[in-house]
Amino acid sequence: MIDRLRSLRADQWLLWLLVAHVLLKLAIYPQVMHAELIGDETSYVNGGRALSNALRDLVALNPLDTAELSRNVVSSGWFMPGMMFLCAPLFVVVPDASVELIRAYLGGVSLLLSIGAVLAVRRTFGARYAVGLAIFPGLVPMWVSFSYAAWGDLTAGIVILWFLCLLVPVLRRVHAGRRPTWAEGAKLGLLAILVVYFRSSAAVLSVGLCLVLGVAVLFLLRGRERVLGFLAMVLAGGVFLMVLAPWSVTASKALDDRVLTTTTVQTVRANTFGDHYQLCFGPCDPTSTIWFTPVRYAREVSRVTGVGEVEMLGQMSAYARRDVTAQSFARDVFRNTRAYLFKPGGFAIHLQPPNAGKNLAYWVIAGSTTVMFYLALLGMLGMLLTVFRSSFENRWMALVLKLGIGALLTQPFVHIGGARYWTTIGPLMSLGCVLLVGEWLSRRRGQVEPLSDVPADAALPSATVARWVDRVQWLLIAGLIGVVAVLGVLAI
Amino acid sequence: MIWGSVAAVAVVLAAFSNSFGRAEPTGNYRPPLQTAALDTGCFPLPDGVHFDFPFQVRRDGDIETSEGQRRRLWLQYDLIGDEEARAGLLEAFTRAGFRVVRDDPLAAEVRKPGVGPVSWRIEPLDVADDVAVQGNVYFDLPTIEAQSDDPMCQDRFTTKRFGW
Repeated sequence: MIDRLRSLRADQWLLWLLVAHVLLKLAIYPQVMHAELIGDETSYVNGGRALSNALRDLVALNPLDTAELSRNVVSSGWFMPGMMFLCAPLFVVVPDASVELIRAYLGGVSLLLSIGAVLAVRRTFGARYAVGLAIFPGLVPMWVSFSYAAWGDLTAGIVILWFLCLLVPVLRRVHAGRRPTWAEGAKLGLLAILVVYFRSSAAVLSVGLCLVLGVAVLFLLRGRERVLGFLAMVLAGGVFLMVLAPWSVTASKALDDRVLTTTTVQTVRANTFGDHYQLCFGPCDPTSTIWFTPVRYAREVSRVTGVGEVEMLGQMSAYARRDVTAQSFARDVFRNTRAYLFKPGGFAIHLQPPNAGKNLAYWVIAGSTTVMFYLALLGMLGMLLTVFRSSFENRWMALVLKLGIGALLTQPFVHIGGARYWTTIGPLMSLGCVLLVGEWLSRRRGQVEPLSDVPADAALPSATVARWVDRVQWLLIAGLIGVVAVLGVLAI
Repeated sequence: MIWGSVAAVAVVLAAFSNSFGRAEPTGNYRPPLQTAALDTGCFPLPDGVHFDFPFQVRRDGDIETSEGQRRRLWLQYDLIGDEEARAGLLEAFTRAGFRVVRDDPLAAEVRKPGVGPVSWRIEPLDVADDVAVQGNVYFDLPTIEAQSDDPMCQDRFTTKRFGW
């Protein structure tokens, strides 16, 4: 039996795991199909409806209903419209789609996207990583539940995989002395901004990693290659800004103030770290949420003063954060991190039939999710604290994953935590675990790549680059421990 | 080939999109902004009183006091200092025929036959001059009934009568 299992090749494993993923999706659909749209989901779905109408108007050569678009797509400028564009095709065909159909459609779209991403990972990094993804998050029930939802966090996590499937090979080739091509530069910029359209806070990751690649181009290439490679990265930046601009311009026009990505940051900071009872220069209107009342107030003040709504949100936030101390900030960061990373099943109670309560299905979904997630979390922690040295492939992967995970983990420093944000970081955790296992196995077998060569077109000998990458890895470990230690001391 | 077919299907669906009907987004994340509380006429200030400086009503409603029911109105003034707020308030009430009974730097009382006493207290906020919202004013006023059956007068987000 064991021998037969061993003889199954990784690709066969992958196939069976993907089949299991599809079966799990089918099993979970009845659990979530009736769940009403929750909170921000309604905004994404409304945006999709409005965009479908915009297409109708374009086709019929009617003037666009700009008021409808402004109210539903830009709204208060909280959410970038990636998920709205993803929802729109459904409403083009079925304008009055029921919640069951909306969830089925989203489940189908996320299935296509995630299988596409897993195949891209298989092509780029090998079947091991693809198998890892098919298990985690592919077989995590809560991740599957979220794949029927309209929030962009999960989709951003999938698009990040595509982004890495381009970025890491480019980085490896830069090490070998070859510059990124124009097409790669353009694609990198496009994928980087696509990530942002689905989850704006992931901009730290996509922009940050593009900057790192830019630095690598400057350090590892020479002469003409360096100049052209750097220009390709400038092109990435240009494409990024060009695709961002339509949103920024539309949102800025609609809200009559300057909006780059989203308007939520200030209110979020106030609600997370400040005193939200002071957010409206005193208590906000009661009987609504901590997100809606501040915006209504900002609009009221804006109406009588002419000060822009977004500018007002900033002034309100500063007022509410007057009494933030290092200690209160550090404590809140811990609280947010706890909510971000330690409650993976927190949404199970919502993504189930109305009034189902904590029944057996709830416990199975939330429980198995929690166990699987904590295991992956341990793996991620091990990865973050390891210096990868067995091969260059592992070095670059480790560097990118550590920076990427670090970039996503900046969120608890600016944003209130929540049980759905882990769906963005989940795929990276998975890659991290596979990387860690691979490194262990290589070391145990004594398979350590020799560093005596100088790649044909490279500017620097491999040993020098390796030394520097390893130093950066040590620095990142020290940084991680340092940040936790400093926050810990401040919080006490 | 696959992408070509996908594109073809997309074009056909787009071409027929109008025949499937029209979607109805609810816009619930950006409701229209309510009329400002004192502009609705639902619960107006005493006859003839209106303020010339920018402000927003934060809370309105009646409370029980030793002198019977009184109206408590809290508003915030914007873009002006407490001196100007004080002058603006006094001017608004004297223009409407009120007589100043007491005038402290941050508090005042005015009266008018048939209306009864009106008083207020100014609480400047501890903020820089370039911040829009500059301070609070708490009024003590005679109670008033809703002046119309308009549903707007029942909407607490319009009237700000959330209860004290």
